Amino acid sequence: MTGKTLKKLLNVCKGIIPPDTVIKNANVINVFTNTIDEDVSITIKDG
Amino acid sequence: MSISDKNNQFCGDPEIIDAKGLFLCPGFIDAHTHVDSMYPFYEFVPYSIRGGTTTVITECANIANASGFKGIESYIKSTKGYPLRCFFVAPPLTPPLPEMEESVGITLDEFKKILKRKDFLGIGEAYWISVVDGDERVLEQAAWAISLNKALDGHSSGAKGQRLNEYLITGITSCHESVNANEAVEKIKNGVYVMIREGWVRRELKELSRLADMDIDKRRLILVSDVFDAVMLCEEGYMDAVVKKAIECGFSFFDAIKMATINPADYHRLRFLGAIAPLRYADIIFLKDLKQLSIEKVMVNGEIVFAENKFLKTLKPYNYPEALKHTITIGDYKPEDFLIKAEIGEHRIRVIEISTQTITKEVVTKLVSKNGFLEKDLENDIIPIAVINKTKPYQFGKGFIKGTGIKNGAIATTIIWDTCNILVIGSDEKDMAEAVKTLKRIQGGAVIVKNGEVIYEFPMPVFGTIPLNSIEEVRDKTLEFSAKLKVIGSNFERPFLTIQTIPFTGLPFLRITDKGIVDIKSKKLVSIFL
Repeated sequence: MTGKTLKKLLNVCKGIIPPDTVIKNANVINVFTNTIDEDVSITIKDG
Repeated sequence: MSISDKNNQFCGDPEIIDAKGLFLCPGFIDAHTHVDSMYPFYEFVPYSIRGGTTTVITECANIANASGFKGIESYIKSTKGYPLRCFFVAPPLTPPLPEMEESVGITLDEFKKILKRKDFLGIGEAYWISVVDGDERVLEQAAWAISLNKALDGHSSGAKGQRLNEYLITGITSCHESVNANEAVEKIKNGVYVMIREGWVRRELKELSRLADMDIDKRRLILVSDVFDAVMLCEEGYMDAVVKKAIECGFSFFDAIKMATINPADYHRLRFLGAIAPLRYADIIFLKDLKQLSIEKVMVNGEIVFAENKFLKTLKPYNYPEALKHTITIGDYKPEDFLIKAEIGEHRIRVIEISTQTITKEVVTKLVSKNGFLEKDLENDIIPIAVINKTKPYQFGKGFIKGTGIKNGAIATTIIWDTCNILVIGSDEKDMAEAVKTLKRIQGGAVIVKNGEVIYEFPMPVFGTIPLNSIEEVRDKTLEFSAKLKVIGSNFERPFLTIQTIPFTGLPFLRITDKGIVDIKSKKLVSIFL
């Protein structure tokens, strides 16, 4: 992992760089809160 | 990946996947398995993915014992480039008892070298008796792992109280050998992760589900397979089946999911795995429902690789080096090699008896020598057995075994714990020699001979332990093995497991190796004559 990689991911998150894939309308199993997080979007870049 | 509500902002023209309300679960992790024998990794990949399992952490002791450092290097390469993350634990005891058995194995320097790799997450299962007895190899290895801040997977079957304390002081971080809740709690109390095994070797989820209602930190529990064989992969699935069973056995939905996702990821410090959260890899299972855990799609590294019940990728088989497909270099064994010389008369003989599927015991019987060799006792199911070193021309141990049921034939195999040498058992020495000869010709695997005729052969030429077959073919050959064993009289409930554990020096009580008969309790080679 490099600073350059993190900057790229940060810019994807900010909407400056396009992601590879976006998953929409998802109900995410949250293993930290023991909840189903409804209607979530997931943005993916470089796997 | 990053996570947001439905109004997240993004630019450009990315691929849009409409999950249509499906439930997204982190890819399952099998934190302890043995996929280093019995099937090629590339054949295993689609089955793992189909079962929602996107990461495996495998032992590689079989390969270390069978083909040493070169074998491990090749095996690591054989796992790369496929849509399944594979990590390893370094094999500590190759072989378990070096003074009483021999395998190719790896040196301490080689062990240290591989453990420094990023894809080696810790030490593989180190049998507790060797550790508490102060085996210097394993203590050096443990110290090295601690200095690298890596895990030490334990194997503390039956250890409790003071003996468990002695084991844990060497840095053990997990154990997959708990068979009841009391054993598990004792380990959890000491800060050890408990791996609940539900797989081919044993199924412990039902018994250990008593932990579900206990006031313990469930984040210290991890579901593991300890290997699914080809039959299970075809018929049951993989970690999806284990998680589902955990829920059926009484674990809450979230506890069960976490035991196969975030818990193993945290245990192995896989900070990019185990959850759907920022900066984690997009290894995601798309579930239709939360009860049946019906898998609609599987994504690995941001790419959908399984959908509509089909694995979507075409995998190029790994081309194993030719040299590692020719690892059995034994001499030409003859029937008389399996006879045991004795003065004419009656002798009291120490015999290995099969006690359970994995445990043997010592029994004493009287055998007669008529022509200068001990006579087997077919009436009482006492027949010859030998373990042959697979790389030495003529190094083998021999004795007698009781309880196989074999009446008219022989079986030989290289699938034995842990040395991957050659085990041969037979009611007829000619059949034994034929079985060994055939096993040498096919360079490993399993052979059954009846009345001089080979009625079953399953070649496993890679390291002598991996066939070049599909999972379905391995399943068929596995089932055929059981059927053909019955033809020569044996009716083991679980023949593959029982046979391959007969020479295993990691469990009690009387074993056979390429150096002779071993009394596990005293850790001594013993004569068969009393």
